[in-house]
Amino acid sequence: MSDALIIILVGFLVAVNSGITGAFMVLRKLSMIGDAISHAVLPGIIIAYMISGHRENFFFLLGAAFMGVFVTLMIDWFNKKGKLPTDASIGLSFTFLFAVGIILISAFTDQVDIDADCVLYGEISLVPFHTYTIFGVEIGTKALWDNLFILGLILAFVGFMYRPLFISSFNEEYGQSVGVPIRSIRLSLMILVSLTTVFAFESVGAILVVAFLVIPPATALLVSQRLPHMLAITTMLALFSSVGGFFLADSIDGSIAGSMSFVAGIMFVGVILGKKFYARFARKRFSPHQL
Amino acid sequence: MDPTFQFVLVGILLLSAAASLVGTYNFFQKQALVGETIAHAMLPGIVLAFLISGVKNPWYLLLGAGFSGWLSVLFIDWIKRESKIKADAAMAIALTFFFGIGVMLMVRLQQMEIGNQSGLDHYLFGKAAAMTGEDGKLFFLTAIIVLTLMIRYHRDIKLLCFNREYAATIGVNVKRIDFILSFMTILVIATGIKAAGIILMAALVIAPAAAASFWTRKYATFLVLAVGIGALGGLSGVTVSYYISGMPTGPWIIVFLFFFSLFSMLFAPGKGYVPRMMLRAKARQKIRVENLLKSVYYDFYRHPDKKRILYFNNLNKDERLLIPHLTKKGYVEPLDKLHGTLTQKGYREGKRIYRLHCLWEIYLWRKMNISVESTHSDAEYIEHIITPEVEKMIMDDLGYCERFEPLTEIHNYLSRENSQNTAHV
Repeated sequence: MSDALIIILVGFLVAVNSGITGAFMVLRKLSMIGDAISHAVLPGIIIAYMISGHRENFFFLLGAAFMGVFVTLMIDWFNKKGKLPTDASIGLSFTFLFAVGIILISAFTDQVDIDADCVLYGEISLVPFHTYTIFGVEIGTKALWDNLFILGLILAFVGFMYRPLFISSFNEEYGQSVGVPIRSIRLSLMILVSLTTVFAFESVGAILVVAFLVIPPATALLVSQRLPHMLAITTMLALFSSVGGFFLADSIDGSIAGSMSFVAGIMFVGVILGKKFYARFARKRFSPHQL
Repeated sequence: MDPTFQFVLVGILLLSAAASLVGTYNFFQKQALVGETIAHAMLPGIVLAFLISGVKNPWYLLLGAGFSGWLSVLFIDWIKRESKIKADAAMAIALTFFFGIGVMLMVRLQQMEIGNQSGLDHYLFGKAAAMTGEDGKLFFLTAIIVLTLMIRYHRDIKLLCFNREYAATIGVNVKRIDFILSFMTILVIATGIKAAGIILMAALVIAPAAAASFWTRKYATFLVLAVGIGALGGLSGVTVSYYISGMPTGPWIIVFLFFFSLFSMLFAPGKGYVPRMMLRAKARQKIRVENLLKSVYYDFYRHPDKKRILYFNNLNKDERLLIPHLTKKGYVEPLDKLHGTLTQKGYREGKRIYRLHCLWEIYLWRKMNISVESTHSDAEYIEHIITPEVEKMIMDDLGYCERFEPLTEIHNYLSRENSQNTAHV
C-alpha cells in the first residue's frame, strides 16, 4: 500500500470511529467531551512514562486510556452528584487534568522528555512509519490495526445495545421508565468515546479526533430524520473529509489533520447553506400564494 | 518583595478578576465552554497576524486573536440561528474548524522558517513569567474596560442572565448587551491567552463562577464571590510559582481554582454534596424511626395484653440499631438488654404516624375513589411528609371534626368488608 492510501485509510477509520460514537454524543448534548478527553489524557501519558520509564507507545496508551476513562467518570460525578451544569463540569475537569499534566512536565523536565506539542498534535503524516511486527514479519500499519480494533469494539457495542442506546440518547427519562439501565449505558458510551479518542489521538492527533467526533455527526443530523440514516451519512462524510483533506493538505503543503477538519467544517457550512437555498427555492415553487 | 513578582501578581490578579466577572454570565447561560472555544479559535488569528506583520508585537497579535475570536462567536451564532444544531455542538464545531485552520497555517509557518516563530508556543501553553510591560498595560486596560462595562450595564446583564425573553419584553436592547458580553469575553481571553495559555484561559473563565455558584443564591453576592475566588486562585498560583522554581503560573492557578470549586461542590452549606447527603441521611433516619414506632404502636394497639413491652429480639437487625436513638429521644425505656417499654411519648408518636397513614387512606378512598386496600402503599410514603397544617386541611376537606379517629373508621370499614366476605363464603 502506498503511504498516501494508508494515511487516507487511517483518517477514514478514525473518522468512522469518532463519527459513530460522536453521533450519540451530539444527540446527548455532550459534544465537547472529545475536546475534554483529548486534553485530559496528558497527565496519564506523563505518569505512565514516569512509572514505566519507557517511551513505548503501549504504556502511553494505557495511561491515556486510564485518564480518559477517569475524566469521563469525573465529569459524570460532577454533573450528577455535584449538581454542576454539564458544560461547567466538562470545563472544570479537563482543564484541571491538563494543568496537572503541564505541572508534571515542568516539575520533571530533566526526566521527562515529552514535548507538549507532540502530545497535542500526533501527526497523521507519520502514521505509515509505525508498523506492527510479529515474529519479524511486518503485518501492517499500527494505527490501522489499532483503529480497526476500536471499530470492531464500537460496532459490537452499538450492534448489541442498539435499542437501549437509541432510546436513552433521545430521551433519558423515557428510557429510565421503560427499564433501560441509562447510567451504565451512558458510562459505557463515554468510556467507548474515551477509548476511541485515545487510540485515534495517539495516531492522528487531538484536533482531528475532536473535529471528527462532532462535525460529521452534526452535518448528518442536519439532513437526516432517523438514527440509522444519520450514522450512514456520518460514515459517508467521514470518507469525503478524509480524502478531501488529504488532497487539500497535499496541494497547499499544510497540516493533514488541520486540512481534514477544515474540509469537514466546510462541508458542514455547505450543508447549512445548501439547505437554506433549497428551502428558499422550494418555498418559491410551492408557495401557497401562487396557488 | 521583588518588583517582578509584584508586577506579575498585580497583572494576574487583574486578569483573573476580569475573567471571573465575564465567566459569571457564561456560567449562567450554560455556555461555560464558550471560553474554551474562543481561546482555540484565536489561533488562526494569531498566526495570521504574525504572518502578515512578521513581528511579535502583542498589540498586533491581540488584534488578530480578537478578530478570529469574534468570527468564531459569529459562527456559533450563525449555526444556532440557521440550523437545529444545539449550542454545545455549535461550539465544538467552531472550535475544531478554527483550530484546524490555525494548525494548518502553523505548519505552513514552520515550513516558511521566518525565524522567531517559537514564541507563538506561549500562546498555546502560557507563560506568565514571560509577561512584558506591554502585557501588564493590556491587563490593566482590560480589567478597567470589563469593570466599567459590567457596572454600566449590570442591570441589563442580570436580567439577561435569568430571563432573556422578559428582558426583551421590558425593552432591554438584547442584541447590544449580547454584543457587549461577547466583546468582554473575547477581550479577556485575547489578553490573557499569553499568560495562561489557550486551555487554561478557559478554566479561568469557568472555575470561579462554578465555585461561587454553590455558596449563594443572590446575584450580587455571586459576582463578588466569583471575583474573590478568581483573585485568590491567581494569588495562590503566582505565589507557588514564585517560591518553587521552575513551576508554571497558569497551571497552578487552575489547580487552585479547581480545588476551590471541588471544595465548594462538596462542602458548601445547602448546595454542597456532603450537606445534601447529611440531610438525606437525616430524613432516612426519621423515616426509619417513624416506621418502627408506627409498627410497634400498631402491634400494641391490636394486642393490649403485651403491656407495651418491646422484645428487642423480635426486631430485625436494622430496627435494633435504632434502639439507642429511640432511647435518647425518650420513645423507648430499656428495661434490660433484651426488653424495653414503649413510653407514653413513643406511643403517642406512633399513634400520630398511624393516624396520618389512615387519614391519607381515607382521603384517597373518599375523594379519589380508590379502594381502601390499594391506598396503603401511597400512604406509606405520605405519612412522613404530612405536616399539622396539611392534616388540618385534609380533615376540613373531608368534613371531619378534630376528635374524629381515622383509625377506627378504617378498622370498622375493613372488618365490615371482611365479615361480608365471609358471609358470602
